[in-house]
Amino acid sequence: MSERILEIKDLRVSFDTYAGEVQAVRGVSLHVDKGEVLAIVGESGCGKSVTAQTVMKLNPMPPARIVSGEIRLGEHDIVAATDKEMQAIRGREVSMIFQDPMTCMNPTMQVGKQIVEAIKLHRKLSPEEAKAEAIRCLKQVNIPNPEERAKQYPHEFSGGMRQRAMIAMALSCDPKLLIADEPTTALDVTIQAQIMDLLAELKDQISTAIILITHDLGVVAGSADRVAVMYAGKVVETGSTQDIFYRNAHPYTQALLKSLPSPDATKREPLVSIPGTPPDLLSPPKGCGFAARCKHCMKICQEEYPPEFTLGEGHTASCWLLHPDCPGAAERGEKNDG
Amino acid sequence: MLRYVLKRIGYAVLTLFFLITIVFFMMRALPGDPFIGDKTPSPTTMANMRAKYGLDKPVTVQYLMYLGNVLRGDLGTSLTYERPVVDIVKSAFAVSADLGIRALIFAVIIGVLLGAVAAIKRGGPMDTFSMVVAMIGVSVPSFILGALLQYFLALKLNQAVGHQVLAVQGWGNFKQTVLPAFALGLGSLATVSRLMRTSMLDVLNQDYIKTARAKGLSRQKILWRHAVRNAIMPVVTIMGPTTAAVLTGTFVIESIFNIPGLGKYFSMSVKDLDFTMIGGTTIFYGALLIVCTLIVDLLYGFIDPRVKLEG
Ligand SMILES: Nc1ncnc2c1ncn2[C@@H]1O[C@H](COP(=O)(O)OP(=O)(O)OP(=O)(O)O)[C@@H](O)[C@H]1O
Ligand code: SF4
Ligand SMILES: [Mg+2]
Repeated sequence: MSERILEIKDLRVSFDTYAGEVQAVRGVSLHVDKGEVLAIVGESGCGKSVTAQTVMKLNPMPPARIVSGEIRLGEHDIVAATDKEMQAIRGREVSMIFQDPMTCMNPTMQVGKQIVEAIKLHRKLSPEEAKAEAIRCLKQVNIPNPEERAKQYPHEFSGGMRQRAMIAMALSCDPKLLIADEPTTALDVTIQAQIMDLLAELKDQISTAIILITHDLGVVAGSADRVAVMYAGKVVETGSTQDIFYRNAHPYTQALLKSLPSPDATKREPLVSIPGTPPDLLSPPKGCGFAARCKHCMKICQEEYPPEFTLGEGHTASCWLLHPDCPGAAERGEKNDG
Repeated sequence: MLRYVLKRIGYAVLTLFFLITIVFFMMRALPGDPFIGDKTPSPTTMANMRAKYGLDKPVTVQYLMYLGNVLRGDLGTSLTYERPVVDIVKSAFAVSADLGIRALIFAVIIGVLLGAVAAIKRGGPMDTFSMVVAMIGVSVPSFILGALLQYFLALKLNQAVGHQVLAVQGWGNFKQTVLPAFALGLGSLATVSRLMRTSMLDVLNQDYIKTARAKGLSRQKILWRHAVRNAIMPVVTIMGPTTAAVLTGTFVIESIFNIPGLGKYFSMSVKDLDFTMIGGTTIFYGALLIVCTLIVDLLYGFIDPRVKLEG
């Protein structure tokens, strides 16, 4: 087995709000191995960003609160880590890029300086060496004229260029894990493809593992090794990309795939075409979160959360349909092939 | 860039021209006669002035002469003091500028700090304190504030301590500058701190602050290097009006604290109907404000790289 970079076990994260406790993440377990790309997919509000940001403890606490669970990043215990320890971990062990590159850079600081700042923080380099490193990082993400570009301000960069610069910044200290939270959602389709190609290229060059959060299953197909499908604060199905696309078992995964436009369609739409809305996380249902929208919903689905069933090596799903006592369970798995 | 600067300067000159014109005609329209009263100038002065300002000539000629004099740096002779207005302005403004700069520095530094801390510790005691300071600063007029300060912090405090801590009035030493600078600056301090707080709260919610945290920067570095630097931009924009507020505030404060500044001369000249003084000081103040605004405009372009200095 290859080296384990990140292991999350039964993580629960809540937000204490005036309206009550929003249970954004309700028992998520997942792991990432060295050099691997894990995609996290799911509708808006299902807890993808909260899960990812909790790995870096970026959620402001309060209102956020880690209710229970474990997060191990390399040898670090994230849940127990102090503020100071987190500062040493952020940017060095794990870094993150965000959805909107237009707002993610300090508008009054030169792009190069912003990268130098990260490098100086975690690597013992002289100012000149740090500057040279920053330029090397910009070159690595295929930014032309990196020397001049480093002296420019973010508003002089296009959206795609800024996202490249963000990637350069995130990788400048050679982290073990890069979390990309919808890195292409805010960009044009052609630019999206370029950024995904860049990530694929970098992944081959360096050993950084990647968590790719996305709405877009098309992106997942082309770049992820494994996929975790999230719904209402839980991982409902996880497996290799092949498993998720061809041997999927959870009705939510299947609905997601159905909402994917056909491959010849040029425009990719967000996953909105599943009828109904996710449950309110202020008072989450005690049974399966998808019950209200699931066409296979049974009585037990509303009463009890389904256990996790193992369907193959590294492929699990939580759905009562997979229970051995459920009529037709075996065939249903088969039927979804292709 | 050059076009932007030239355009701004052009506007400034135009504004100044309008100001001089308006001052000239307003002076003509003022009721009352400076030559009637207990301060009638000597016959020689009267004759000199008649000739100089061509008071018997048509208004248009008078206007052109006045404009010419002003452009040459001649603001006329004070009717009360029988000295060139320019000389009085020069010596008195040194005092006003001293007071104004003290007040401004106090207002901006404390205002920015107070606003920033209030935003960082939102809902905390410092936030409440800043709110109270802002409320007092905005709602209590400076002359009431000045009088209260004189009574409690100078008179009563000195009596209580037994020696002079702060001076009640006058100008010259540090003890005398504290209270007027405080009274003069508090209103602007309130404005600056409120603006800074709002701006800081906005900046702290920006994505680039999250990026800075994701890099592993400490809280202190995030606040000072990324947040304050960006949050201060709106404060820079209001520096023009703030300077104006402080300068006009000197009229009142200088009278209350008996400070021989331009503000005091200005209010006196209105009382004395000293027309040349009124006109001269008004034009001087106007020009000063125009220049301040111009400087701030240009400065802003240098501080914020996003402001494109184009026409
Ligand atoms: N600061 C907060 N206060 C209260 N609730 C929050 C807060 N941040 C997130 N949540 C809640 O947590 C849940 C999960 O949010 P999250 O941002 O992880 O969704 P997401 O899967 O990333 O969605 P998206 O695709 O829109 O980014 C949402 O229901 C949201 O309402
Ligand atoms: S557990 Fe029931 S409701 Fe939930 S997805 Fe499976 S069949 Fe549908
Ligand atoms: Mg998100």
